[in-house]
Amino acid sequence: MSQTSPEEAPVAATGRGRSASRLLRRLHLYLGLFLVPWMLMYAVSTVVMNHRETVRKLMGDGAPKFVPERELEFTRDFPAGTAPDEVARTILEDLGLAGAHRVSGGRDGRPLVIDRQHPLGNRRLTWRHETGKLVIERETIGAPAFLERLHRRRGFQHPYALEDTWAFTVDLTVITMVFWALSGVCLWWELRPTRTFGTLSALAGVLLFAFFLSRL
Amino acid sequence: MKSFDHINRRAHLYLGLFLLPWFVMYGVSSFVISHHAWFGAGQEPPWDVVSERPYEHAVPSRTDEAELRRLGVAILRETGAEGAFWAERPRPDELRIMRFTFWEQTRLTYLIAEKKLRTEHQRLRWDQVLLRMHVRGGFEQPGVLNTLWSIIVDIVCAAILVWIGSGIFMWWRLGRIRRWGLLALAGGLLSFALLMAGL
Repeated sequence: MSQTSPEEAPVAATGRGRSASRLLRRLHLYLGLFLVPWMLMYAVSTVVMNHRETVRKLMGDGAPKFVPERELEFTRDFPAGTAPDEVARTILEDLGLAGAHRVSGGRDGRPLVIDRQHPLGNRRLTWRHETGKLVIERETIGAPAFLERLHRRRGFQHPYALEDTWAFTVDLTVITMVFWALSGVCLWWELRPTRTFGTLSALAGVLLFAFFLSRL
Repeated sequence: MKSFDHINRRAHLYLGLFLLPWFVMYGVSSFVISHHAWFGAGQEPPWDVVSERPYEHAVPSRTDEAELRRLGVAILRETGAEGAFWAERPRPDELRIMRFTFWEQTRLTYLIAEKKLRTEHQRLRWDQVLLRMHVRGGFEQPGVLNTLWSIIVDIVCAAILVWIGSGIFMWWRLGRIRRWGLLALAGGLLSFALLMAGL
């Protein structure tokens, strides 16, 4: 029902040019639609981090707290000399909680503590080998902390497929950001009526950016 | 009178052109941060000692975050090095001020008991420069330019929301491709939700 107006029509004259322009437009569009959740998350989380003190005053300290979730017996035996990391991985797999985590303790009589990282709140598992008692606590976090953690989450450093998938989506988002910038410039240049004001806008932005780089 | 459609398109376009440098910077720096091991993370450039001289400034025995900031501002003013900084007190008799720009940083270490001030300088690698640009923000740092940079960070975030909204509006107006667009949008939302649940 809606078509672009004549002045909006791109000036790519040749068939091949029109196809390339169309492909660029479609990619610009569909990548944009697919990555809406990621871009929303990065934008809102950045505002939260940029106004950390204000958010803290409005929403309270928001420091994450751990509350007990459950307690159970975990009496599995491990061969002598098994590394705490290996023990932690096995415990998480047995409980159906496999995923990114950090491990501490588990040596010299200290309980094994596993911090299972999760965007919606970490879990802390504390296991005492001698008693077999496993305590699981759930972290309650507010929206600001949740958003900040999500913003910072990245990386292929964990050996889990879902972690790699998330890291891949982060890569896709950042590469697409550069693509949007470059494809946006190409698509703009096709719109002849907008070239003057567009050039002024782009120049103003570049000059301002350069000014900040030289002074900050 | 211009139609909303026209205004929507122009807003999407001109915001994009004006904020192009920031958008490209955030994209490239995010990639560097995500793969920092590829770019020499952990290999810190050397610190060069610039000077070590007698210096005295009253420091309370206990200092909270606000007091550390006040001390940092005062010491940097006295040494002619005002600007963005972080301050910490790693030991009771040592005050450390990290004065930074996008390109370099200067570390001032005040040894309270010895009444000595050591100044060291570090030139950053390009990947660290990008990281600095990426994380720069907040309104704690002194100076108008620091505040303006943080305002522009806010503007970029607002622009992202405008791009999303205006982009969805423009897509919806193209009746021919609504179905594919809906698939892309739903695919993204579903993927994101599944990752949130499963990570």
